[in-house]
Amino acid sequence: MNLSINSLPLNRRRFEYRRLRAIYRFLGSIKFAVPLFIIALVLVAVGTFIEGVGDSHELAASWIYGTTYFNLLLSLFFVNILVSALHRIPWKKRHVPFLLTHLGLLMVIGGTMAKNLFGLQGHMILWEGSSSNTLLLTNTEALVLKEIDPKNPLKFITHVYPLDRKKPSGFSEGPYQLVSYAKGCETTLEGFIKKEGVKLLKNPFLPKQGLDGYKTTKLPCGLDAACIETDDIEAAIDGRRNTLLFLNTSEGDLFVALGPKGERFIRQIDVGAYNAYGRGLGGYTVELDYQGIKLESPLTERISLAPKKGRPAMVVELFNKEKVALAYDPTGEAIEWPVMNQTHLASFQPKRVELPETIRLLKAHKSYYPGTSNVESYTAKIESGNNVHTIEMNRVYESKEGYRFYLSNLIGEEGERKSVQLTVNYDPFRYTVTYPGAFLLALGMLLLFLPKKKKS
Amino acid sequence: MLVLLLMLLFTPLAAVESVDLLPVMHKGRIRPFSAVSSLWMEETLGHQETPTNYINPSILLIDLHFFGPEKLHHVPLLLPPRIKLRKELGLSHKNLYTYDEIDSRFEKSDELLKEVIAYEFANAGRELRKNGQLGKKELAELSSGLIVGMQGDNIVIKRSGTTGPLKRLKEDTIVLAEAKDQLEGLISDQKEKADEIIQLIKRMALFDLFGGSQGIQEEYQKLAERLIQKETENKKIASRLEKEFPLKLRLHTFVDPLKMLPSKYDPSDWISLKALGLKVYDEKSNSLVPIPNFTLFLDEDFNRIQKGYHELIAVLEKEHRTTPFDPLKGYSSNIKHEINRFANRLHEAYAPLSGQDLNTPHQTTVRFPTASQLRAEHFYLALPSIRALIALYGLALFALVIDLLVRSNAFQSLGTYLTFFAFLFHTALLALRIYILGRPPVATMFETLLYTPWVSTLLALILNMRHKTALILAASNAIAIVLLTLSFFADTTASLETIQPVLRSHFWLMVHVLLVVGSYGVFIFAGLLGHIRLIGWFFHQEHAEWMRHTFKPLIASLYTGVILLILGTILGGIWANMSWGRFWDWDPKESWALISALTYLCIIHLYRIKAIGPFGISLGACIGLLAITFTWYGVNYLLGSGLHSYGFSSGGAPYYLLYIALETAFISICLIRFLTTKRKWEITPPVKRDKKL
Repeated sequence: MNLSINSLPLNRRRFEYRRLRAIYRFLGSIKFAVPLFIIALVLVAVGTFIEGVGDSHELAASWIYGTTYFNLLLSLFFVNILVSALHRIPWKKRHVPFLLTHLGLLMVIGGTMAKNLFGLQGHMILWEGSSSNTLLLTNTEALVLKEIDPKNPLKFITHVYPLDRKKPSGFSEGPYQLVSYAKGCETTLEGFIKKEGVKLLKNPFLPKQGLDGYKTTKLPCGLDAACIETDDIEAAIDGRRNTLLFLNTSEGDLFVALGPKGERFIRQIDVGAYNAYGRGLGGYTVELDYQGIKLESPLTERISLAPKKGRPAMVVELFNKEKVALAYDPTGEAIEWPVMNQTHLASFQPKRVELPETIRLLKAHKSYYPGTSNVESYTAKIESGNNVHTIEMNRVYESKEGYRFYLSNLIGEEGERKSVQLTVNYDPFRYTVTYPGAFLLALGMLLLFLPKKKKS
Repeated sequence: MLVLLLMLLFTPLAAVESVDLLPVMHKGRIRPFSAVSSLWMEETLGHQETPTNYINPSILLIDLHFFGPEKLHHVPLLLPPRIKLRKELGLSHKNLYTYDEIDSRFEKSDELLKEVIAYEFANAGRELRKNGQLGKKELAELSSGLIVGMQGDNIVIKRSGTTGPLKRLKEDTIVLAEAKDQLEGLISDQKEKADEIIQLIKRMALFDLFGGSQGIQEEYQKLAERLIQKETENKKIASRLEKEFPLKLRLHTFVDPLKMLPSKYDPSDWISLKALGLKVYDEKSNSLVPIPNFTLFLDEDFNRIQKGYHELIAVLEKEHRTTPFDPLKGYSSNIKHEINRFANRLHEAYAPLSGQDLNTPHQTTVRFPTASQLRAEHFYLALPSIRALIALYGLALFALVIDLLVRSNAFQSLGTYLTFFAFLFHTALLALRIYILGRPPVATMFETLLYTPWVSTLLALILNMRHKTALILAASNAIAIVLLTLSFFADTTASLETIQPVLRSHFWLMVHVLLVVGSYGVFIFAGLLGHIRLIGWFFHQEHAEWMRHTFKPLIASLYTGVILLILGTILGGIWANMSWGRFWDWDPKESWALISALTYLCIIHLYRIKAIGPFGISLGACIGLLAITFTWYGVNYLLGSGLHSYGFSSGGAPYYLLYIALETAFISICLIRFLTTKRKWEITPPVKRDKKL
C-alpha cells in the first residue's frame, strides 16, 4: 500500500494519506460500529424467526449464521474493534478499561470465529454395545454411496462425495451431476398396498429383550456379526449397527439385532417394520396382514417439497445417467436406497471424518424424578481405548486430542436397547482464547463502570 | 416487622396439625402432607382456592385413604360443567355436585357416554390412523382398564373399565356402528362438548381410582392359604408366592397419594400407608403374618407405626359407624388427636433420616428435607405471601404517588420506608424458596417473575439514595406489582416443582441465570423511566426538576444492565461449553441475548459520541425494552425453539403483540415529533467524559 503511495507526487501523496487516514479512522469509529450493530441485530433476529417457523436450526444456519455475508459481518466487527483500539496509540492509563473490554471482545469473537473455521462440530449415533469412530459433520452435505467390498462381501465400502453447489457439477469431486436441490422437504415411506393408507415412520427400531431359543455363531470373517440358524433366512446384515436380521421363520416374522458380544434383541415385526433384501441392494419390502393373507409390497419413499421444513432434498444424476431423488438424512441412520442396477446404496448424508479414537457406548440410562415422567438425569457410559467415561448433563468427556463429547439425545426406555446421540466439538484453541477473552471483557467492563459510579 | 407479625396472627397458622407436616413423596419431591393434599385436590378435582377453604384437603385425603371413594360419592366435590352441558344432563345450578348426582345423569344417557368413547377413540387413534393402524386402544384415563377397538367397521368395547361413570358399559357393547367414515367428523363436530364431558369423566374416574385395587392382595392370600394346606415344603411356598406376586409389585398396587413410607430398596420410592396392612407368608411359622419392615425406618419404629395404623383404623371405623363423615365439618377433635398421635409416630421414625442425601439405585440422590424445611414449605403455601407482597408494593406506590401530586415529605418517607419494607419481605420470600428447594429460585418462568422485580427494587433503592425523587421508587413499585401479578398467570399451582436435568448445576444456575435475569429487571426499570421521561417531554416538562433527577439513574441502570447481561451471557457461553460442548451456536435465546446487548451497546455508544442526547437515551431505553421482553417472553412463548427449553409454554401472545404494537406506535410518535419540532432537549447534566472514548 505504502509503495504505491510513495510513487505518487507529494501533494497527491498527502491527499491519499489523508484519505487512507480517514478510512482508517472510519473503520475504527462508532459511526461504523453502529450500522454494524443494527445490521447484525436485524440479521440475527431474522435467523431466530426462521428457526422458530421452520423448527430447524440448520435452516436458520443455511440462511443466516452459516453464510459468507454473515461471517463477513463478524469479520467487520473484528476489524472495527481492532482499529478502534489501535488508533488510540499511544495508549495511556485511562485507556486501560476501554482496551481490556475491547481486547476481551476481540478474543471472544476471534475465538468463536476460529473455532468455526478450524474446528469441527459433528455428531454420532451409538446404540448400546455398538461403537464408532465416524463423526458426521453438522450442517454439511454429501452424497454417500456404498458398494460391497469385493474382498469381503460382508462389508461395505463407503464413498463420500461432498456437495459443493458452486461447482457446475454440484460436487467437489466424483463423476456425478446435481440436477436440482431444494432447501426443505418431507418424506413418507409407503408400501404399494394401501391398507387404510399404509405409511411407515422411519424411526429406528427399539427392540425389546426377551424371546429366547435362537443359536448364535460368530462368523469367521472377524466382523461384528453373527448368524442365526433357522430354516428360512432372508436377512440383511448391516455391520455398522452390529447385526440386524429380518427373518421369515415358522413362528412369524422377526426382527433380530445382535450385539458384538452375542447379546440378542428380538421382536416380532408388525406393520411398521420393513424387510431388506440383499442388505438393501435388493430393495425393501413391507409386509401386511390382509385378512389372514400375508402380502409383501415394495417399500418406496415419497419426497415432497416443504419449504418451511429445514430438511434439504436433491436429485442427482449418477454416471449411468440414472437420476435419483434423495432426502437429507442428518443422522446417517435412515434407509439407504439401491441405485445403479442394485450395485450401490445411495443416501444424502452429512460429510464425515474419522476420529482418532473409537467410542463405544456401554450403557445409557435415563432416570426420572420419583413417581413422575419428568426426567431427572441422562447418563451414558462410554468406552474409549481401555477407559470408561461417564457423560451426562453438565459433564462432557474431553479426549486427549481435544474432542469434546456431549450427550445430546437419548432414546429408549428401561428394558429396551437404548441409543444416544453424541455431539462432538473440536476447537484447536481450546480454552486459550475465548476464556481469557471473557475474563478480560468482564474485567474491562467493571473498570469502565466503577469510576463512573464514584463520580455520579 | 409489625405488619409481618400481624399477618402471621391473622392467617390460620395456629392450627398447624402434626399430620400436615408429614413428609410425603409427590411428583418427584418430598413435600409436607398439606401441600400434597392441596395439589391432589387441584389435580384431581380441578378446584381452585375457594372450595379448599371450607374443605380441608388433608382430612379429605385421610378419609379417602381409609374408606375409599365410594363413601364420598354423596359429598359435593365436583365442579359444575358449563351451562350448555348442565342443561343437557338436566342438572340444576349448584356450586359443587356430588359424584352420585352426576353419575345418575350419565346413567340415563348411555348414548352420550358412547359418543364420548367414540370421540376419544377417534382422537387418540388420529396419529395411529395416519400410519394405517387403528386396532385397539386403552383409554385408561376415561376409565381404568377400558380397552376399545375396531371390530369390522364398528367401534366396540373390548374390555370394560373399572372406574368412573363408564364402568357400567359392558364388554362387546357397540359404541359406534359403521364408524370408519364418521371418525373425522366426530373430531371436528363435537370438540367443545366432548372435551368438557371427557374432563368431567376423567375427574370422576381419577377420583374413583383412589386407593387402587385390593384384588391382587386377596388373590395372594387365597393362593397362600391354598398352598399352606397343600404343600409340604415351606421354601417352595415362599418362592412360588414371590414368583407370582413379587413383593415389590404388591407394595405398588396402592395409587393413593399418602406415600409416606420410604422404601428400603430405593429411597426415591415411597410407598403408601396402605402397605402397612399387607400380609406376607412367613416360612418359619408357615402362616400369613403382617408385613415386616420394608422401609428405611428402624424396625421398632416401623412396628409402632404399623400398630398405630391398625389402631387408627379401628378408631375411625367406630366413628364412621356412629356419625357419617362430612368433609365440610371434618373430624371431631378427639379423632384429630388420634390422627396426630399416629402422625407423631411417623415424625419420630423420620427424624433420623431428615436432612440426609441418600443414593438411589439409579445413580441419583434424594434429599430428605428437614422438619423445618417441611414446615417452611407448609407456611409458604399456606400464606398468601405473593398477594401480601403485591399489597405492600401497592401501598408504597400509593404513598409515593400522593407525594408526587402534593409534594409531601411525610408521604415520601412513608413510601420509601414501605418500599424498603416490601423489599425486605420480598427478600425473605426468595430466601424461603431457596431454603425449601435448596437451589437458586430462577429455574422457571414463575420464579423469574418473582426474582426480576426484586432486582429492579434493589436497583431503585440504591439509586434512590443519591437521587431524591419519588419517581424512581414509584417506577420500581409499579414494575413489581405488574410482574408479581403476572406470576399468577405463569403458574396457577404453587410451583415448587422439580427442574430439568441441565439446570441441576447450582453454581451455573446462580452465576448465569441470576445475572441475565437480573439484567431484565434492570432494563425494565430503565424502560419505564424512559417512558416516563418521554411522556414528560411530550408535555413540555423537559426542564422540570424530576427530569434532571431521572437522567442519571436512567444512564446508570442502562450501564448496570449491559454489564449484567453481557457478563451473564458470556458466563452462559462457558456453561454451554461445559454442558453442550460449545461456547456459542446461535441458539435463539443466545441470539436474542446478543440482540438485546447490541441494541443497548448501540445506544450507549451513540450517547458517548454525543450523537444522541437525553431524548435518544430515553427512546433507546424503550426500544431496548422491546428486545428484552422478546428475549424473556418471546423466545420461550412465541418462538419455542432451541436448547433453552426450560420455560417453553404458550399463552398471553395476543397481549404481548398488543404491547409490541402500542410500544411501536409510541416510539414512532415520539420520534416523528422530535424530528419535526426541532425542539432541543439539552438538560444533560455535565457528564465528564473522555472525548476519545
